[in-house]
This record gives sequence, C-alpha cells and structure tokens, in this order.
Amino acid sequence: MTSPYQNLEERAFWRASVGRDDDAALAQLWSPKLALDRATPLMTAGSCFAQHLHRALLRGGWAVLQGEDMSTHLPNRLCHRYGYNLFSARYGNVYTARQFRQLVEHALSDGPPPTLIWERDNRYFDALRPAVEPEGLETPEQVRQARAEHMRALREVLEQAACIVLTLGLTECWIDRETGLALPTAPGTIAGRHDPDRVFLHNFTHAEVIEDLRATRDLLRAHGLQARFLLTVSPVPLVATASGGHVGPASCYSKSVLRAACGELCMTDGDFDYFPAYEIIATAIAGGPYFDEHGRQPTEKGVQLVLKAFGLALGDDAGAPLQEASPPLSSIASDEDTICEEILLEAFRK
Amino acid sequence: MTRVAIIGNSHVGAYLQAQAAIETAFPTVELSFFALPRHSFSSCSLDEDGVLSAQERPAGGLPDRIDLSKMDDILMVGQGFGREGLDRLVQDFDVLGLAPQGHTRSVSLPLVSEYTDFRVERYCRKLARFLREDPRCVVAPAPFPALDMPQWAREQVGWLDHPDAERLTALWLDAVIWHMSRLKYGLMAQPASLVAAPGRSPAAYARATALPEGQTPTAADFTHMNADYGFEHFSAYAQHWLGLAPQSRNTSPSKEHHNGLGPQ
Repeated sequence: MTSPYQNLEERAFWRASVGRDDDAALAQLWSPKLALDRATPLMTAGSCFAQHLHRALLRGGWAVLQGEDMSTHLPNRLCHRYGYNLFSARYGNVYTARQFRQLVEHALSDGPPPTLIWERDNRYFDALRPAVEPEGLETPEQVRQARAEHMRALREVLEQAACIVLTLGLTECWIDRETGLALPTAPGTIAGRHDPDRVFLHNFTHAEVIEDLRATRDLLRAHGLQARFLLTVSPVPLVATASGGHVGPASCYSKSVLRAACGELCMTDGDFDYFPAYEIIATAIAGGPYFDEHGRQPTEKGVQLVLKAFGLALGDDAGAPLQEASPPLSSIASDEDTICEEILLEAFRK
Repeated sequence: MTRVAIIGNSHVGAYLQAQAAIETAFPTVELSFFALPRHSFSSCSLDEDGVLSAQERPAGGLPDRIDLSKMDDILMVGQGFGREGLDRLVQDFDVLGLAPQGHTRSVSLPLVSEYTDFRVERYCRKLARFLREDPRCVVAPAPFPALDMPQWAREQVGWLDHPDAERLTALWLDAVIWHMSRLKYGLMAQPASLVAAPGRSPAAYARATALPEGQTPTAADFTHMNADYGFEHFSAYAQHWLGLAPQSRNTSPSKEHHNGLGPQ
C-alpha cells in the first residue's frame, strides 16, 4: 500500500521542517516560479513592511530599482522623512491592491495624472501620498507639479522592472466618492478633513484583490511591459480598523484575504509568485514569530531571515557581503570648505 | 596690547595682507595668524595648554602651530557653515515655490530648509568640538562671492546665483544664527557695509582686483577677498567685539600690499 505523502520532500512535513532557521530549512521555504538573480531589476512597493524588504534587498546587493533617488544628495534620515528611497519610487506606502492598480494606471496614462489635494493649515498635500511632504506644499499647483514629476519617474521604473515585489498590507481602504480614487489613509489623519459625504470605507474582498492584481498585470502588458509579480503579505497587523469590529479579527481577515488571493494567483497564473515573508515573521515556521515587544513591528532578525530565505531559495550565496544601502554621508557632502591652498600660500609668502 | 589670533582657512590671506594697515589703525592690537592645513578641522589638535598644532607639516612654510593660550581674542574666519551643501541641491533640482531653473526634478522648500538646517547644525557641532567652545572665539562665515564674478567662474557661486538667492541666503543665515546661538562662540555675520547684494560682496573687495599686473584671475579670486576687505572686516570686528575704533585709515591696504608695502 502506498501513500501520496510517502515520497514527499522533508519540507512537506511539519515536524521535520517547521521551527528551524538554519540555511537548509530556510532554503526550502520557497520554490521560486520566477527566474530571479542579483541582476534582475526589482521594483519594490507596498505597505510599511515593503520598506524593510526594499532596504534589505538593497543591502543584500540585489538590483533594486531606485527612481527619484536622493541618496547622493541627502542623509538617509531626510531621504526617508520626505519619502525618498523607501521604495523604488516616491509613492509612499501602497497598502491595497487597488491603490497599486491606480498608481500604475496613472503612471502609464498619457494625460495629466489625477490629483486629489488635501489642505492643512494653508499647506497642501497630495492625498494619494500625503506623508511624502510632511510640511505640505505652498500651493495646490506645486502638488500637481510634484505629482506629475513623480509619475514620470514611476513610469521609468515600471519600464525597467522585470519583477515587482509587491507587499500587500490591507483590505480596508477609504475611497473618494467623487473620483473613485483609493486613498492610502483616511482624510483627517495627516491632512484633509473627514467628511462621510466625500469618502467611504471599503473592505476589499478576495475576488476584488485578485481582479485588481490581474488588471494591473494586464495594463502592464498592454503597454508592452514585461514585469511579473512577486507577492508578499505584510505581517504587520492593522494599527486600527474602521470596520466596527475588533482590530484583532479585522487584522486576521485582512491578512487572510490577501494571503488567499496571493495563493490563488500563484496557483493559477504564471505571472504571479508568492514569497512567504508573512509566514516567516508572523508564524512559527522559521522559529518565529519575530515581532517587537509591542507585537506589531517585525524585528531585524526576522527581516534578515526573510532576506536570507529569499536568497537561499534562489541559490544565492547567503554569505555574500552586504552592501551599503546608500553612500555614507561623508561621501555625499563634506563639511570642509573649498580648498584654495594657493591663495593662502601666496598671502603667507608675501 | 590686545593679542588677536586670526585663524581659519585660505580666507585668512585677506587679513594677513592687511596686517600692517590693521596694526597701524589699531596700534593696541597685535595679530597672529594660523591656517588649518587642508582647511580641515581634523587636521589640527588643541592640546591642554591651548596650543593648536597641525597634525602634519603644512605646505609652503605655513605656521604649524599657534599658542592660543597667549591670545586675548580669536577670530575664526572663512567658515562655510555648510553653505556649499546647498549647491548640489539647487544645481540639480528646481525648488518648488522658487523661480524654475529648467531642471526635470523638483524638491520642496521645506526639504531644502531642513537640509540646510542639518548641514549647518552638523557644521556647528564640529566647530564646537574644534575649539571646545572657547568664549574668546568669534566665528565669521566665509565672505560672499564678489558681485562682478565673470560667467566662467559662476560655478563657484552655487545657489548664490539663483534668482531667489535672497530667500535662500536668509534661510541659510537663519540656520547659522540659530545654531551658533547655542554655542559659546560669537558669530560675526558679514557686515552690511561689506554686502553689495543678497549673497554678494562688493566687486571692489574681490581678490581679483588686487592681483599683480599680468596675473589672470581664477574663480577663487572672486570668492576670496583682498586686503581692503580684510581691513574693513577686521575693523568691524574690532569695533563690535573688542570695543576698539580705528585710529587712522589713510590708505588702501591692498594697494600698499600690492606695492610691496605690506607685511614682509
């Protein structure tokens, strides 16, 4: 008598493979569908966790695309405070599949990008990425100009990308009634004013998430762009829910929908793969969970394990030296004044 | 006698060339000079006895040490305060809200402001460590470039050539004043009488005006000032910080210097 489980690999069995963070165990966590190597141009986007991935991939020496790069002009702290170099372009956090779909639509559109502007204390904010200018801009026109520049840069990134590493974070989303635009945050949080007549909450379903992701892929193909998707789900729980329920179950719903949508796409569509970053951080499969003391932010160790598992599954040398994410500030801008030795020598000589 | 050390970088040259005129006009003042090798704070060390020494032998016979313990006052000149840090931002990007310069990318004014603040704050921290916030020390920013800078030398001017130089200058100067106010050093901004336009020194004070006949000026000759500037700047310093008024001012120090009448 034979069993279908009889000849399966070690990784198919919980006892043999779960709870280990050694290289052999990490290498088994993911069987890549997409052919990736360190030269493959990667685009990162998504929720907060995508920032960790972006940084870790850069440090790991992967070919992460960097649109709107400011690393040679600004120190990291300022770069990040103004939304630069957090992801492959300055779009800020993209929490939902719908947001990403509309971002790609806007970038590939020939017309001027739609702009939704919020106001706070006579300063103006791009409602589709309100955190990238913490102090806002002086006029709505400046917001429009900055958005148009951002869209041009994003288009260039999309044109170069071979793989989009997209980290899905949420299903709950605020939608602007008039424009139908999906917002990254509720008006009134960073800027703007909450008005139930203008925005409504929508909790995306599994089917909607799948539709948005497929539509995004179709849009890329319609423009002759070949990027495929490596999906991940952010392990970071919801900070709050507007669904009326408890944040815990609401968070579980969101992550479950996103994980199931990724799973279905991965099983049924050759353009989509899924990397189990969520599982590595949030479950016991690699010795975790790896959360900080508040149970929300992933620990550095967890993020490093994610990157290690990523590389090992691709046959990469996990011991490859890490590279600097950006040049040290000393090479960006020196404090030493312009050197004019000759003038000084001449003055002393006389 | 009031012993004053003038220390700094290549901008010390203007004061050195005005030394005779300064000591004539201020007979109770005795000057000493010291320039940091490579213009780097880290090229010198201040020992417990107050002696500032170069870590390596300076080029061209420049002094390699100065005993600051013997000084009553210290004027540190030519300090950049991170001003050049703004250059690349303004050279590479338009600034939203300021006159467009035709760049394909823009940055916001709040970002420019925060970056300026960051650079100035970091500069002041280094300054504070350098002379351990010695209260005898007054720090003067490098002079603004001269007004008549020729086109080929404009790269040296950086953002001071921007149509909104006045706004950018104010932004930078505000940051300098704020961060210096937290140190025990004095701050001597460029006196209004030595400013021709926002971010510009009068053309007559450019070092280019005092070059020997036949010597072709370089860009640096428009960012460095002559002995007349050195004299006027020191006079302003002496009056405000030392409480001394000049007792004479008969001739142009730069002409004296040029004619071989300067310090030998």
